[in-house]
Amino acid sequence: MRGYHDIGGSLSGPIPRTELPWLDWEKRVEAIRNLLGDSTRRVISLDEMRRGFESFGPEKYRTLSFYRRRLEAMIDILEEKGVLTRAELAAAVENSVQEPGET
Amino acid sequence: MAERDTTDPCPLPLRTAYTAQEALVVEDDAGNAEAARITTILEGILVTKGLLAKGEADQEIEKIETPGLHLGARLVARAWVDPDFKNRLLADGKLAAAELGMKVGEAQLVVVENTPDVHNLIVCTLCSCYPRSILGQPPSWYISKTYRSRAVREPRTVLHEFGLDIPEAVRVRVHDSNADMRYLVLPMPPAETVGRHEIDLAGLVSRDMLIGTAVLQR
Repeated sequence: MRGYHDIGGSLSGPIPRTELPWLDWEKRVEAIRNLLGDSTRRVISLDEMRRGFESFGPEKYRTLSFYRRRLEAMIDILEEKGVLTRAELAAAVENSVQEPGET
Repeated sequence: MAERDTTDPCPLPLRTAYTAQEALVVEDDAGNAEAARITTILEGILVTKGLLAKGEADQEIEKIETPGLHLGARLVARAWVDPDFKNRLLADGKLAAAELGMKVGEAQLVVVENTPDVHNLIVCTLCSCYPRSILGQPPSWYISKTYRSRAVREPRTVLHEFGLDIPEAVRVRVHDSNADMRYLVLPMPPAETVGRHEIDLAGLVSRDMLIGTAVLQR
């Protein structure tokens, strides 16, 4: 069966000819993945990243932007490997949002 | 090397209509702000856990921002003036790039030569594999679902939409990249290269020529 990412060959509509800028957070996602995948760490390989977003299910794959897919896949794999949990990350994000008001 | 005969009927879903938004999903301001926050926090956690050093991601960002058209253009210009280098480039892109001090991070760089008989086009249907260590970040349209799906099915129509009409007599060869194998097109040189400086020749090369969606007007 073809996976939802395996889209080569369908006639699918116009190609958007936009040239979007590469955003800072997108570069950071790429940088973090590169570092986690380097030969000294070997925590997340490119193939694992692909397996990550190819296991999202079609809905999530369809609605997330390119780098958001990579970010979410990276978090999934880090959770799988016991490096962190989604709950831990969510709590830290929540704290960071509240902090400015508390000080 | 992935080569598909575009006249061959293949058992694929013929039409998957993507809306413009689906073809290239773009975050809105709130989405970007959220993603930026998560990324920063994630980096902090990874630093705390000792997987990343502080500031390491910033150094890596500088590294991934450095490659770009200038590197690809230098490879092409050298190949245009030096036939021996061209042969080495076509034989092993990674080794040849190393001669000019360029480090190809990917496992393989396969350089494909445009000739009067063959026009090459690069795509990655499964993902968005691209010779990043030579050309940097791919253009937005390259990662769009519509380019990924159509380039292997109707390359001449796609090229026409990019303003490029390839004569029927010229064969169009489409190369589907993957995580380990990245392609780069070697465009045809200008009519006259003798006596021209490599640096001037490099200035003629565009990013799209190296993907195959443009050619040098000769």
